[in-house]
Amino acid sequence: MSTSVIQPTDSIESTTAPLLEIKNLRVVLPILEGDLVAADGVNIQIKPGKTLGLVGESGCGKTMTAQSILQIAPKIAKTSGQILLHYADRPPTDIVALGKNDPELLRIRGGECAMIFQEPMTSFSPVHTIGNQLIEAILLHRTSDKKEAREIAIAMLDKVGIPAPAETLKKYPHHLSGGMRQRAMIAMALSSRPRLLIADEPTTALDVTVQAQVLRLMRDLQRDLGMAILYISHDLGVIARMADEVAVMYMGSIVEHAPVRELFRSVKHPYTKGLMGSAPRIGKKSGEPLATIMGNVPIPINKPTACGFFPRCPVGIAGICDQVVPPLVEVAPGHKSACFRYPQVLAAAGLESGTTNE
Amino acid sequence: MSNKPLLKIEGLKKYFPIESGALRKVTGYVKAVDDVSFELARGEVLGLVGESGCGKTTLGRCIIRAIDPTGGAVHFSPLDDESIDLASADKKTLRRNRRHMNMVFQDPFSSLSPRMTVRDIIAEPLRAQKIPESEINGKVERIAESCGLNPAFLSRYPNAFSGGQRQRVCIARALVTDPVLVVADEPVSALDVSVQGQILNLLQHLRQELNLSFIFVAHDLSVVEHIADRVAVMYVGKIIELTDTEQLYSRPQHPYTEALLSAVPKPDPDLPDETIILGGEVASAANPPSGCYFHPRCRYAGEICRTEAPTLREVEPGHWSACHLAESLDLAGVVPDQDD
Repeated sequence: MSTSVIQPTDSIESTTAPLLEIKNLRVVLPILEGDLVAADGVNIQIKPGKTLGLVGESGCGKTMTAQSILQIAPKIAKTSGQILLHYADRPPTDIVALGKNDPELLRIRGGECAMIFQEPMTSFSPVHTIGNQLIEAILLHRTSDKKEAREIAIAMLDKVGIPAPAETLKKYPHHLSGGMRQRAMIAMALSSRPRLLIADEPTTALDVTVQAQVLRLMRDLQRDLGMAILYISHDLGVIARMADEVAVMYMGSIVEHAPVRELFRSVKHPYTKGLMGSAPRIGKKSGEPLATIMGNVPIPINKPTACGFFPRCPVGIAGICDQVVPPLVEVAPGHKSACFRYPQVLAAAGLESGTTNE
Repeated sequence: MSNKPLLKIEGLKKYFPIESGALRKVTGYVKAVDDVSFELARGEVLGLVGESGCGKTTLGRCIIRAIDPTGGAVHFSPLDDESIDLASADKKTLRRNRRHMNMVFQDPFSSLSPRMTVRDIIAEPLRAQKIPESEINGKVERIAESCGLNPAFLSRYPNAFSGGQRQRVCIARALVTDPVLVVADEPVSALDVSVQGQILNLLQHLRQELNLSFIFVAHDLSVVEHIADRVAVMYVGKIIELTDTEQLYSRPQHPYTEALLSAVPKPDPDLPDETIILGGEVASAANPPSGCYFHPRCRYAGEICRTEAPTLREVEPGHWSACHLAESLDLAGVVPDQDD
């Protein structure tokens, strides 16, 4: 494809003020073997009403990054950096700096920023009815009137397409099918009218036809309610359908970041390229072996001193990639990559270019 | 090599009784596999797809007699001359034929004993077949190497291996007795994307090297398309469509297949979203609807669909569909990519 012209609105650095800004986020889990660096200097921005897709394999730090936004990461996690939640009329709140019982945090968590999880069965309490759990959330964040809370609950269940919402309030989570449970969870998350919805692999446990229903529902709700979404997934097909912008994570770092069309049109990191080659594409039976990534996802123990992808990288440059950590810089308009194959990355790291750029 | 199929399955059924009350009276049956018939050629890979609860795992297990079927026949001809019915075979015959067939499971963490070394795990099927101890080590090392495992690590326990390597151990264990048939039940769904690709490549390679036949059970339609020669689509215990992979993906002849194919998200943000959203839920196998099980969700359903149960019939040479209206519908398959 030759259409490489990018519209100004397509760019990451557009003029809209961000809703949430994650600055230099570092999450470290001290474990027996050393410090597990789950997030290492993550910088992302989420704009109002837009969807940022966060892609990566298990253990790359995408869930830890998301959990940090609500301060629900495991207790042993040490978080540093800034997570700024912006407001139109007052200075931003830094979520990292808030105390565990700060009323501000309790207002944000489940209120302004809500989250839905992968496994809807484990995220609902099995001993309370759907109604109890839903109304509890509404009482916390929306109203103190029980009758009104019940009405909101019914309206929310109706909005997410659950038939007979008033009946469903009396049911327990195990009465509902996987797809219906996920709808109920979305209803609960959206009942507080959040400005940001964090969706952590919300359709991974669902069948493909149910996944299609839930994806369609989330997009319709986003259009109606105008919330921003941080959409975490390992499935590039789902990301292509849901996201406006995509950030690819590997070993706790963002290695590529671009608007969704630009990313799929012109990949600029060997890891992303490997991910795209590893999954067979429907409608494309070739009989050829898949272009996979060799080796396994390593566990990021202690601070990396080089490119984390180097041991698996097919185009790694010995002497550079195994010596220096590549910074994430813009290598094409609106398109950031952390790969020394690009002269801009070499320059940003203070290395000379020319010898390596074929 | 004869033209006789490796497997000929006729009217295979598995009903699970529903018991209720204090006396555990049987009040009904869940028809997990209901009257399934198909053939598997030598060296063929048959993909078995469908949503959770459609009976694809139960079917796979019935075929190799991991569980006892309620009725029907599974004619298995591992060697050219003889053919046995696995569904009714006695224990002794089964045991003698176990080495010709094996299974790979979804979760490589729960399907390996944590207290056995990888060498013992892979050797287990050989010991069960009473292969002399002197031959075992050589066989284990040969198959481990074909599966991409370093023989130096065989004395380790499964916990020292990553998910992808464990799945290689499971595959090595399944192949160590030189089987002709492998039932692989979601062998890559629990793996990371990059590792999933490696295992798929390994299965492709082994299949050619060892002339294996696979029944590949999976819910991921792109994975099945990649590996299978033919694909069977299941819905509520029945096969509703069966044909060559390319034919199925480009020209499906059952509305359920059409909807399934349309629901797979494609990694291309420029493609319009043409997903056919199915209303309602998968019908219950304990209490299926009348007529065609799919009719309450089918956008093409007519009067006949509500009253008459369709049978799987050949609508085109080699293309079987269980839809009353197959000939009159013009269903959409996957649109091939325009790029590259």
